[in-house]
This record gives sequence, C-alpha cells and structure tokens, in this order.
Amino acid sequence: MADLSERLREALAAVESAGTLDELEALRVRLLGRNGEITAQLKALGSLPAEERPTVGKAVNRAKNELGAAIAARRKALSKRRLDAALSEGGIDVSLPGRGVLPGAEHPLSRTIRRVRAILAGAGFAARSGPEIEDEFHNFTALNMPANHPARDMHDTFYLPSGMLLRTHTSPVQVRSMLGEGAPLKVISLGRVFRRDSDQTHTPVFHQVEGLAVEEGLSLANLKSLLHEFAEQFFEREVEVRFRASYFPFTEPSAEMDVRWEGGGWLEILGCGMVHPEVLRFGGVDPERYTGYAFGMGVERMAMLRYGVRDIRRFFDNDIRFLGQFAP
Amino acid sequence: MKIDLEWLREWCDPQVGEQALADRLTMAGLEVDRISRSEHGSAVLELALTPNRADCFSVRGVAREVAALFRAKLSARLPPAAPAACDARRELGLDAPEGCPRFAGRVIEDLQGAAATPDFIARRLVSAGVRPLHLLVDVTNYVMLELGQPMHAYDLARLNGNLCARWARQGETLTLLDGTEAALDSDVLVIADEHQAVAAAGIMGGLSSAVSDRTRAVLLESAFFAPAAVAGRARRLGLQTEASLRFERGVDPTGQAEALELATELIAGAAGGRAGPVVDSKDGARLPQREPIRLRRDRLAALLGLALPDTEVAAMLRGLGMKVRMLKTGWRVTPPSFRFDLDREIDLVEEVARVHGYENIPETPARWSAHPAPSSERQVDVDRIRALLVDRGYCECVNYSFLDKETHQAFHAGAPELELANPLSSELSVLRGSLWPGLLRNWRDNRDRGMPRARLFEVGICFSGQANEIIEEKWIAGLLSGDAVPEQWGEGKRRTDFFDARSDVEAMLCLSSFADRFRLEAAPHKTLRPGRSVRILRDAEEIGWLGELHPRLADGGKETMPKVFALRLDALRESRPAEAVRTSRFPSSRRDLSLLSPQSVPAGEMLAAISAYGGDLLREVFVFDLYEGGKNFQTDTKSVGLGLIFQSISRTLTDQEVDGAVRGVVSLLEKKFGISVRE
Repeated sequence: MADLSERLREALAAVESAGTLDELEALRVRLLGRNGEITAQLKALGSLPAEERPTVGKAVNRAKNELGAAIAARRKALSKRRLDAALSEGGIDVSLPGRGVLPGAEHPLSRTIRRVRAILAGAGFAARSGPEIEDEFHNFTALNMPANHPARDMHDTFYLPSGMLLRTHTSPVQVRSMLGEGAPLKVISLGRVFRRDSDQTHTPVFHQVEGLAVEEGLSLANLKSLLHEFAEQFFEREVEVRFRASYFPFTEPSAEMDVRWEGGGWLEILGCGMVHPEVLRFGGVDPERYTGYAFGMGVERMAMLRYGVRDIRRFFDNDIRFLGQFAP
Repeated sequence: MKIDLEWLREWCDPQVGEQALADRLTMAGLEVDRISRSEHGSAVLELALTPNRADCFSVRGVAREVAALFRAKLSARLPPAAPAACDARRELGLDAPEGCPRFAGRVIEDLQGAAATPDFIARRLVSAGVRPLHLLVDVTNYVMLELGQPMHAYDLARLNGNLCARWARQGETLTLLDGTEAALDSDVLVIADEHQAVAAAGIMGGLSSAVSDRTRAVLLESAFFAPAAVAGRARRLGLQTEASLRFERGVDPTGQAEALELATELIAGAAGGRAGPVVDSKDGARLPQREPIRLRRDRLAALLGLALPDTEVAAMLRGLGMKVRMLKTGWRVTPPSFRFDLDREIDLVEEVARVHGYENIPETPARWSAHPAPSSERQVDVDRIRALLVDRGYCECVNYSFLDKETHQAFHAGAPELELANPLSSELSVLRGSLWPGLLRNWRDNRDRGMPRARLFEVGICFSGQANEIIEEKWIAGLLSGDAVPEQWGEGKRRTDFFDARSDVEAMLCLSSFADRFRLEAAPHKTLRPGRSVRILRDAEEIGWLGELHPRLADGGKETMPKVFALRLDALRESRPAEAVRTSRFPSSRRDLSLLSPQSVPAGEMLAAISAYGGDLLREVFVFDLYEGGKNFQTDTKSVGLGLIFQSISRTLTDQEVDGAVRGVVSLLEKKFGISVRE
C-alpha cells in the first residue's frame, strides 16, 4: 500500500510537469492505458487474498480516478496554453479606421421641414403641396389681398411674362386644399417660395411651412395652445412664448409668436391667426359654421435658430463642409 | 414711423416709462422696433406699422391707441378756427368726386416766404426723420406728422386761376417737385389749375407751383383722396411719398379743416400773413361712411375661446373711439371715421383681442377627433429616398430655381427659355429645367474649396414647356465625382465610374416594390457623353437619365466629367405592399459558365435572354467576371463569367436536369449571340 501511494505521488508529479499535450498523452498511456501501471494493478487484484481485495481495490480505484482528473486538468491547461500561443501571433492594428463610405448629410432645411412635419403630423396635420407657379387669384385675391391692396407691397413678387407669378408664400396651397377637400380640414403646406429680395438677411428663394385647421368651434385659445406645444417640441425644451397682435390679410385676429431666447430677448418665430372669414368663403367654406386657424413659419429662420446658423445664405452655398455638419 | 415721445406725451401721457409704453404698443400690434434718441436727446419710438393701421401714421393716431390701451386721457390740442383776415380765395372744384370727394384749402397772403422754421418744428421733423427744407413745406409736414393729414402748399402767384381735382388727360405730363417728368395715365388723379396739372394728387406737387423764399402768398391744400384713387399709382410712378403712403391706406375724411387751422396758426406764428376764408368743397355722398357693425357675444367668445364681461367689451370699444350700443345678443358698434380697417364683425373681434391683450387669452387644447398618422405603402416616402442617398455618402444641396440664360442653353439647347418678367439679375433670370446645372456648379465650388470628391443630390421642381403653359415636375438628381471611395488604407484607389452611379440609381429603384417595371436602356442624351448614357424607363414611360456629363460642358476642357442621374420623383415613389412568395426548402445547384462573347453583345441582353429561357428552375443568373481587351483576346472579343443558380420549389434537382438546362443555355447563347464556351 505504501508502494501505491508512493507511486501515485510520483505519477501526479509527472503529470504536473508534462510540458506538451503529446507528453501528457504518453504519460496517460503509460499509467492508465490498457497495459498501464494502474491498469496492471487492478488486474493484479484477483491474485490477492480475498480479505485484502476490497481495501486494496478501493485504494487502486481512488488512485486511478485521482490520476484521471489530474490528467484532464493538465490537458485543459496545456490546450489553453497552446491556443494562447497560437493567438498571440494573429493580432491586427484595430486602431485603423473601418473600410468603405460614411454617410453624407441631409440638407438642414430638409431636416427642419421633416421635423416640423413630424411634429404637426402628431397633431393630426396632413402634408399637402402645390405648384410653385401660381396665379394672382390663389396667391393674393383668395387670400383677401385684392389688386392694389397695400399688403401686396410686403410681397415683392416675381412675375412671368404670361402674368403668372412665383408664389410668394405657401398659402395658395391652403386655398387649393379648402376648395378641393372642404371642411373639416387639417393640413400643412410646405415648400419653396419666392420674393424679389436679396441681401444679407433675404434670399430670393426660401421655404415655408404653413398649417391650416378648419373645424367647428376652433378658437384663438386653441391656436395658442397648439403653437406653444409646437415650439416646445421643436426646440426640445420648455420655452416661454408670447403672442403679439399683428396683421396679415388672410387671418384675423392675427398674431406673431415670439420665443424668449438666451439673454432674455424675444425672437419672432412665426405668424398666425384665425382664418379670415373672407378667405374661408373663397375656399368654399361657410364661415358661420366653421372657424379655422392658420400659421406659417420660415424654414430658414427655424433652422438658423435651431442650429445656430448666422447667415441665411449659407443654406444655398452647398458647401460640403457646412452640409456635413448635419449628418444624420 | 418715428414718433417723438415728448410730442406723443403732449397728446396722451399714460404715466408709464418708455419701455413699458413700447412693450404695450408692441403687444397690441404697433410694433416698436426700437427706442432711439433724436439729435436733441428726445426718445423716439420707431414703429413698424402694419398696412392696415393707416390711422397710426401720426402722433395723434398713436396717442389715440395709447389712450385706448392704457385707458388714459387724450388731450385735444387743436387751435380754434381762425376767422378770415382777408377775402382772398380760390375755388376748389371736385371734377372727379369719386377720387377726391373733399378738397379744402385756404389762401394766406402777405407772408414772409423766407422766414425761418421755428426750432420746435425743425426738431420734431428731424426726430421723425424728415429733413427741414423751407418753412411752408416744413409746416405742411409737421401737420401731417401730428394729425396724419398730408397737405400741400402752392405758390399762389404761380397758379393760374382756380384749382380742381380731376383725372389726368391722355398724354398729360407733369414735372414733379423732385424734377422727374411724369407721364400720367388717365387713372392718375391730378390737381390742376386752369392751364395744366400742378400736382399728382396725394403723391407729389409739381415743380412749377412750388413755394420758395420769394413766395408772398400761398394756397394750402388739405384734401381727402380715396385710397382706391391713389393706391398703386405712386409705385407705378416710382414715387412712394409720405403723402401717398397715407392716402393709399386711408386718411380721416373729417380732418381736413382742422389740419388747415393748425397749419394757418403755425405759418402765422413764423411768417405772419393774412389768412383768407377756408374753402371746403365736399361731396358728402362720396365720402366714406362708417356703417354700424353687429358684434355677437357668442361669436366673440367662440373665436377668442374666452368670454368677457359685456361692460368690459363696450369700454374697450369706446376707448378706441367707437360708438357702442348694447343689444340683447351683443353690441352695435360704429367705428370712428379715421379707421379704415373696421367694417366687419371679425375686425371688432380683433380689436377686443388686441386691447384685452393676447397674453390674457388662455391656451386651451382643441378637442380633436383622432387622426392616426397615415403610413402608406403605396408611396415611397421622399425622406426614405433621401436617407438612402445620404447613407450612400451623398450630401443634399438646395439651389435657387433660376439660372442664367447661357447655362440654361448649354443644358437645354433649343428648348424655350422660361424667363422671369422682372428678374433680380441676368444670372437669375431663367427658370431651371434641370437640377444638373446647379449640382455641377456645387461640385465645382466644392472642388475649388479643396474637396474634389463629391456625392451630391437635390430634390426640387424643374420647369419645362412653353411660356403660356409651363409644366412643373419634381425631380431628384445626383452627381458623382472623384474617387470611388474616400482615399483610405483598405481600398484601392479608383475613380468613380458610370457603374457607381448606376448602382446608386438601382438602389433607389429598389425602394419601390414595382422595381421590376423599371428598365435601363442605352440611349443618347444631349448633355450626356455618347456611349455612356442610359434612359430610365418605367414600363414604356421615360422617367429619367443616367450617364456621364458631356465633355462639352467642361470648364476649360480639362475636367473629368462627373457622372449624373436624374429621375422624376413621382415615378420613383409609386409602390405597393409586397406580396410574399413561398421560398424553396430544397437545395440549389450552381453552375458557372466561362464564355467568349463578341464585344458588341450587351451583358444586359445576355442576362435577359437567359432569364427568359431558364424558366421556373433558373433562380438567378449574374455576371461574376468580365475581362475585356487583354492581350490574349482579339479586340472584338470579351470574356464573361456567368453564375447560374438552379432551384425548384417542389423537389431536389438532379445533376442531369441541371446539366441539361445549362446545355440549353449554352446553345441559346451560341445561336442568338455567337457566344462560345471558353475552353
């Protein structure tokens, strides 16, 4: 018995010192293989006296199990060492940038239009578009601006030789929507508009989004609520707004909405008001039954405020260095 | 409109600071742009008046507003009527009463035409931004600024007899005060003496009767010209004057005499003289009348979303100078003569809202019926198309809708130019017919800024057709130039070519589930390089183009021309919900063919013929290799590697079946195109 435990100690030491998986495998065969030492001792049990067999058998089996576990553990350790050694070779420079193409950028005006449209879609407004070349009726007359109306002075208009004009606002789309769809109605019209004006703060082409709601019982209080909510969603923060009286031929009462800005000053954001009964009538809507409100904003101005762009002309330079800042 | 605050406080002083005053006016629609200081230190309110508020073009007008908003007292500071000190007079005829229903005037004799303008008048003119010129002119300007009534002073000695207001005669001309020779149309109202026109009524006086230092007697004109008789004329003559600005929008038809009295007093104070009787010709029936308007209580509350006490509403309206009578359902309101913007119920609603203060109207969410946001699969969202190009590296551009003639001609030789009647400049005079010129310019600008690689696109309306029938269509167009991918370590350097552009176009076409209706075919285009241009069709309809810009458009001839595409947006957007088809669960078999083809056979036709022949079992055929023009080939031959994938929906295909199908394909290619299998 002393012999067996001595042998086991030696064998375990040999397993621990096996340097490679091949060496370990040879050791396993020598000890536990069909002709191995331990196997031989098990076979030799039969030649022992019957009363010694259980004790010796138990000891030999324990030694066999212990050795088997030691070999398995050693194999695992050696396998890991071999894998580690192999992997230490195939490293790459992961600090290099990835291959291929990075995204470009949506124009900040498109992005602003998309956001405004999404916010208003949430309030139930559907988007409509209309022609950029308009007639006097849809651009002016139906919006309560008859010929020689002083408000036409506010609109420096581009004309075509045929007498048609480039729309000075997107409001004609609202007239077309009322005529085409009738009340109740909740639409926004968006797109390009034109005024004969070009300086540091004006470009002859710019963009507008206008909203129109016509339903029974709409009030100025409803309009104030919607636009305040809109401003908070657009700027993604709580904003203080104020509505001040103003004048547009197509709305009455009319207002401008200002937002309190950093530094405490007020910044004009948009124009709005209750749709003028005459405009409703031009749109084929009974102003005694329905009331409506309308609002309109300059997309360039909204984008300038949102993104800190100082010069409106940057939107039309199409400089990749500028555009690239509005990556998706 | 600049209002001297000290002058304003003489009329109405609400006992508040200048900022508080400015804020209240701003909130009520008389926007104070800023408060400045005049040369002599007085505060000046700079008002941005809206065109409906003609009545506020004067100190008195703004004072009325202040009185109403602050419920303060308005002091009347008008001089009493001066009795005539002499008999001198001129008759004032109403020969066009529809345009001039009231023409008042007075002669002042024996005055010192060279007398200096009193300091207080000069100071206040300067505050208002009006340059002092000459006592008599300064006085008329002063009265206009104070009362809102434009006036004119004629040198009596230079008038021939009596005056009348009439329409200009055909071909009549008039030399105006500023020296311009105006040709008058017959819808221009003039003041004429017995020989000729002496003033463009309500716009500007004539040079021949202008006052000067030598003037000893003057005729003062204080008239009411109807807005419709003045509107637009000044602009047509290229003369917007302080007078026309006011008459166009409406001058109080009851204020002519008091303006005369004030002017008389001021002239007498500075230049002496004896005033004749006031001559006041009137056509009462043609003067504007203020009709009573009914304001319904319910309507007011419904529009504002707020119910106000009856007495408060009446007090607000009375404060604005209206006559108010209570009715069972609301009020019967007669606006004052000086308000030209009040003739409907809605106008009164606005007045109440203004005076009550918009800030005092609550914010009440509307009770909407629910409208779920639509999410249609019948149309591809334009933003989705944008996002696709952006993700493939494109930057979106926005260009003006006009360009110069020359560029337009370069892109649309022979097509009619759609010119603006009043362009800003010749560079911006023609409506764009294509998005390519803008993108080409954007690319060049960016290249000149040091960024030669470009992926640019724009979405916008282009114009075509004839001047009297212009067609608007929404397009999406792109431009590619420079390296195929930005210069980097892992990719070979390669220039962008036609197939990079084609790949982007194909990706866009894939957004529609009608993708199989699109076809690309070789076809010539005037602005694309021959042999490198493709027409894009949907069914039989042409919807766009793809190719390399024609070298003729090169700047200096040395540019490598960019690749471009353009598609009609509507055609691209039409779609439908996908229809799911069962996919096979049996294995597929691939066979590769290495072919020698005549150079002239387009790969597209080869693929189309094989697809048509292959039937149900051929799932896919594609070009995996192409070799042209190597030294082992004749120049009119190319080597094409085709991959064919066979699969059945219902069973595993045998090798024999697949081999048979491949043999069929090979013999088809031989017969149809003269293509052989490479040994």
